[in-house]
Amino acid sequence: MIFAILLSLSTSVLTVNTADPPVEEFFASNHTNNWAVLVDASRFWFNYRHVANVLSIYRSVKRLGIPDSHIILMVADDMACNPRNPRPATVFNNANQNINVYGDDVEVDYRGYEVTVENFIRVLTGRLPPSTPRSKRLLSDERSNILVYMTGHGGDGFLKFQDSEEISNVELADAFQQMWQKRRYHEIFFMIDTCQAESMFQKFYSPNILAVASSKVGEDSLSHHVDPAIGVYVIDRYTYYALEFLENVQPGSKKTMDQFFKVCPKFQCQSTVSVRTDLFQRDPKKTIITDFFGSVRNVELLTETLNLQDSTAEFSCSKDKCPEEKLQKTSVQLLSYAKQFPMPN
Amino acid sequence: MEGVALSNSMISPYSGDLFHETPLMLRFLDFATRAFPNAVNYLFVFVDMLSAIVLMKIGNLFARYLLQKQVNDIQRVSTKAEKIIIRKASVEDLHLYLAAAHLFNPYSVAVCLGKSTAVFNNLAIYFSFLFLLQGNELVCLFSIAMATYQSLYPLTLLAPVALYFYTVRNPKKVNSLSPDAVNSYVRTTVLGLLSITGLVAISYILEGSTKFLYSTYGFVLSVPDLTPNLGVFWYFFTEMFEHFRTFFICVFQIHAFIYVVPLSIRLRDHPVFLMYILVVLMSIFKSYPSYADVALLTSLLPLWKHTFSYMRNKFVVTNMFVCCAVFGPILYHLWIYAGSANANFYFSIALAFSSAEVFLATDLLFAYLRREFDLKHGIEQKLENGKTAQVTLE
Amino acid sequence: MGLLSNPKQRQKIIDAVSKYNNKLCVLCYVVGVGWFLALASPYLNAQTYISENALLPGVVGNEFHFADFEVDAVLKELEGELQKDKGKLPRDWLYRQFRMIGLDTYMQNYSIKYPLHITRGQTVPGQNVYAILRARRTASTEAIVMSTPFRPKSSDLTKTTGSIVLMLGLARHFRKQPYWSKDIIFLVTDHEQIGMQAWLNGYHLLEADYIKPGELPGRSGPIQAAINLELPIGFLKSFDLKIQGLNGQLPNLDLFNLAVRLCKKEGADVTLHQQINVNGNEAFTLDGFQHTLKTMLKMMWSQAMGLPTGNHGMFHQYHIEALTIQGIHKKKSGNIQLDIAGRIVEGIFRSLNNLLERFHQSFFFYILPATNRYVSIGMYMPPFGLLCAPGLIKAIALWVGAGKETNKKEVKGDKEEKTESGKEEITSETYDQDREKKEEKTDHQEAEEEINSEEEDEEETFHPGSGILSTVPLLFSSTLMGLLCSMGPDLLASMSGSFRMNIEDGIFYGFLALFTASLIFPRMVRRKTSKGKKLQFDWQLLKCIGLIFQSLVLFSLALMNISLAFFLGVVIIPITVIVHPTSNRLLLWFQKLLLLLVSPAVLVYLTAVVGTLQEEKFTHLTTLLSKSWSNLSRGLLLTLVDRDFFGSWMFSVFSFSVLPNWLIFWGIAFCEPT
Repeated sequence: MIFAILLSLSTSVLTVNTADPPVEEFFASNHTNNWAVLVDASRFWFNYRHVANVLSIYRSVKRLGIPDSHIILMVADDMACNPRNPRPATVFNNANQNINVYGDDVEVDYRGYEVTVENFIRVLTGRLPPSTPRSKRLLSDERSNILVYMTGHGGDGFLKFQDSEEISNVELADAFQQMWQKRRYHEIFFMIDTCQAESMFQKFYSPNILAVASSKVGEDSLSHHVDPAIGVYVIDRYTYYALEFLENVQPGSKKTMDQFFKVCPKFQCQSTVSVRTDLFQRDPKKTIITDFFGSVRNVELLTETLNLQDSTAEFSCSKDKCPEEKLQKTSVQLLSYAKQFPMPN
Repeated sequence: MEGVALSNSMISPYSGDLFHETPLMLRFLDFATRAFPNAVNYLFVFVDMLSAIVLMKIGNLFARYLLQKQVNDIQRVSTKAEKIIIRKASVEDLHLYLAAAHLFNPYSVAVCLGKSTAVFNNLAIYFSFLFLLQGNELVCLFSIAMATYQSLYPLTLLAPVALYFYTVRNPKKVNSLSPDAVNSYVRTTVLGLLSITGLVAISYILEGSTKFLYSTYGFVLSVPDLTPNLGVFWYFFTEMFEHFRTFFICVFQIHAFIYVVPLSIRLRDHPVFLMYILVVLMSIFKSYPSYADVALLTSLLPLWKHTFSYMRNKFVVTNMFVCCAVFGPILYHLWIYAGSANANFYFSIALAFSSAEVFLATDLLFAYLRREFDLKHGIEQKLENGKTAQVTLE
Repeated sequence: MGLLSNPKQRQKIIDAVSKYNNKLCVLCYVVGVGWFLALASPYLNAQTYISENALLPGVVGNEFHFADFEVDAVLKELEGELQKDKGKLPRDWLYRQFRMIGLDTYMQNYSIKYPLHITRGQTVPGQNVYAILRARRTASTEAIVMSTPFRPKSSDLTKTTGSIVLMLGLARHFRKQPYWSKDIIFLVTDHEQIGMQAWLNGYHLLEADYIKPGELPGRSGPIQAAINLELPIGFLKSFDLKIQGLNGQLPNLDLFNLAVRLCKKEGADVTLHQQINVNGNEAFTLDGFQHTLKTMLKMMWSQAMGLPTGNHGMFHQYHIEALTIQGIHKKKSGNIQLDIAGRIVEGIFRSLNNLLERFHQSFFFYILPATNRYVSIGMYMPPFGLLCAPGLIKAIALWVGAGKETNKKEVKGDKEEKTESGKEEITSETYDQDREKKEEKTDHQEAEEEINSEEEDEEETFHPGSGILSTVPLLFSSTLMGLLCSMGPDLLASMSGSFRMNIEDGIFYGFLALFTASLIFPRMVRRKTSKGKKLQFDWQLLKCIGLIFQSLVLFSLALMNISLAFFLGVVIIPITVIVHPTSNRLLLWFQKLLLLLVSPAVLVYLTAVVGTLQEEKFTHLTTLLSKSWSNLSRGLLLTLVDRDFFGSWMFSVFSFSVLPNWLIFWGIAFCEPT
């Protein structure tokens, strides 16, 4: 029901004749902007791989077009400057060391001991102190698609932050619900690479969330390989293969989420990648991957003419069986509903 | 000692987190270190010897008290209980036992060597026993006030003292709840509280601020210092979530005081014994128990020599005490110095020690009551079928 | 609580214990010993694993090789220096070498004053050379130590020239690496463990009576771990890991596992007490079991001695995990070159470099039947408990028995006597404890034992009855013997000078005399008691006290040094449990013989025999016995010196708990049967 009203509210939305495939594809996602929240929750030198994970994903989403201003990057430890790092100021995600994921233009928003459960939840729900700079805020709206990527050490129902605290799956689910109520997202793609990762999305109950986890409950997520020169494991298996997939994705690519879910089968990951689609309204097969991993504006020049009809009024009335003025009233009410939350700015 | 140094350098010793003695004590120690700069060690030895002398006096008085009490209660005693009646001969060297138990007690020796100011506290408690038995109400109350002023917990001792002086005043008492009796209790309690307040007031005048209240009594009550000791507080509170802390502190502290009520009701005819049991409980439930408290209770233990034959767990309890005394330091060494064992090892011993104390208290309580029972009903209880009956603790 | 307050159930248990105590004792003992030995089997112990995440063992590629370092040249130079001045450390040469590499290099001077007037008050000087490699990108807050003892040409121990050369090579290599997060201290010590102790004392700013450490000119942060190297030059066959430290302390199991893992990674054989591991499947066979059992017993034996097996042993008392890697030299069959050892050490150091906090995971109390299997404290304590159980069961049975008797007596006996005995008791007790108080003042270190024995006495005040008084003289004299024994050496040493005797002999024969004196002490006590010619005391009570004291000692030892407790327990327990006064002459003599066999003196001698047996093979029994006899006197002196130098408590344990305890039982054997 809420979803229907939201649809009716947005002025730019035009319902399209379902028989028109290109148009359907064009408007399939209904989002106007993309955000990413990338979290590495663990510190210490021997967790080098988690930092490498998150920085690799950061690099990919940036390459696919999400600007730094739309990425909240949380890294719990500074591996590049760790005295144990034989190659200072670099982080590599591969033993061949061809990509330094800690390049010149990495913008870490939350680092070191700033990466806490509290800060993470505050970023998601927008309840940050007024003094917080814009770059540290998630300024998403109801048209935003958000990619949430987390990595660290987890257990059944929690993810450890910084060796001292942990976020539980219930807390995370509640945070997402709050985001939904505050209309801070349109769709969320939740991706997590940790042990027993599946447990983290089992408690989700808010709509429009697509989730993928590196392992089932009771399974460990394993690391991929060691760089003997650095002397640590440099990347986790799931992230490694996911990146391999993402490297082949170009901004205009038509690869779908469904293809992405098939990444890293058991023989590669040694853990079962599990997916949750029941909260997601669309068909993953028809959802293109750049809806989450990139910021792709669909501007396409078509030669044929499409008949678009303004069906807003018709649509909402057919649902609510209401006259025109009632619709007006609802929209006013809803606006005031939105105002009662302390929205940033 | 640190406190003396701090106050010498013109810093209020109460502003830091180091010093938790009371102002009067501070003045006294300050005076002592100034007057005899080289003889502070002897001060502790002197206090120790003084305690021994006081204990000997307690022994003599207590023997008289026991016999007196026996004479008073003679009508109630069963004729069959002849064997367990205390003879003069058996109690006349009680004072020697007491002195020996104090002077050769490894705990009290350790306390004296460690130069712990707890010896003054113990001395105050010994004095309160002494003046209680002498029947000198005011001085007794003042001793308790001194002890309470030092460590707060001896406050509970007001209850047995009140009971005792009522019985002293009305030897032919009928009812321990008559208005007359209540009157007497209130009088004693008020006097006791007044002397405590007086001491605190003097400290306030000397100190000029109420800061010392927090760093002495607040320190005892809120348990901020979790350095490992003999008790169980430190472990619980290091393991505990911070937001439950207040609740559990209340629960723990209530333990130290709650037993006064039921015990006073049950043991209203035996105030001295009640007082001893309260001393034992105090050392169990104190927030910072030390060897000094153990020294206190073991030194006074021979008072109840006549009930020992009724104790049933003396083998177990003695062994527990012995084991804890040996293993405690070893595990502490392994944990703190060698670093190979951990806190749990030491805590298990602290826990065992506390349970040994609990066993001692319950066993002694049982033995005492059992003896009273036998005094009333005679030793040999025969059931109807002729078998010897066994009294069980229900 | 139910058990304590419900008299009926209690009675049942008590009855059961007193009825079946003999069978129970035998059963517990046999099962305990059997189980303990069976722990060597792979069915009962566990595979080792690294529990500290941060170590990341063997993940890093080891790069060290001697390529840019002319080993032969350096070696030749070193040999030359050694030839120049036999028996002295070429300090200046080493100093220059470290300087050339570019490290902060320092020397520490110290002096040794031998106890017991061995050197007639003269001091022996010594010098340590050490160099600190400062971590580039961190403050010097933590350090790891690589040490090697310097052994002059004349020494008959494994040469360590290899490790000195290797250390120089590694220092050169490490210096170039950017990844250190901890300082590395390269340390070459003089005079074996004494030099190490002096350096550690100096590093931690401690003052000692006998080893006077000179001030250290340079210092780093707290030391996290230490690796001691004893490598000869040339080809090596395998590496032997030595872990036992002073007083049987062991390093964290993680460190040991780390070393094993890295040796395996480089393809080198790694052994424990020169015992190589059996192959996977073979371990489950009987032969395999025998092999692992042998390894385990060797390891336990060496731990029970309480002597450090290498320089690493000194680190443990400062809460620093350390072990020694010894290279086993074989002229022909060796295939390991020095740079492989270098890579192993490099790997260990890089793992240690990853450490974030002190070793605290894994185990500190363990027994090793092989380099890849371990028996943790949780696994060995139950069998040990069973092994010690007979003592406690017997004590309870005796107590119950005694309780019954006194109950009977009490009913019959008259009051007058009771009070009299009580009076006497207290006076003698006062005396007894007075003496103990003196003891406490003289020897603070032994406060534990003091409290212990005082507690024993206190126990007596708890119960009435006539028995206690009689045990006091015996307890008193046995503790006195212990005291004499611990004070003895200093006295004897000061006296032996005037007799123109060798100090070693002086102390040795002094102890023999002391021991013989203690053998006849029951007679002396007998003479003291005026009533009749026979020893009269409540032997049941005495035995009960003795057994409890013994169990207490054993369990306390088990917490510090399980191996010592185990060997002592195995030997002592059956005999002490059996001993009781009897009128049967044959049985009495047999008992006395058994007791003599487990007397501290004989035990020490047997230890010396086993020790000599391990060193060399003897064909003739008499040569073995005489050799171990001379070893014994030397060992005794060394134990004493260890006590003064390093704070080894072996001697104190024997004089304050094992000897008095044995004397109690010896007294029981002389007791008149009731």
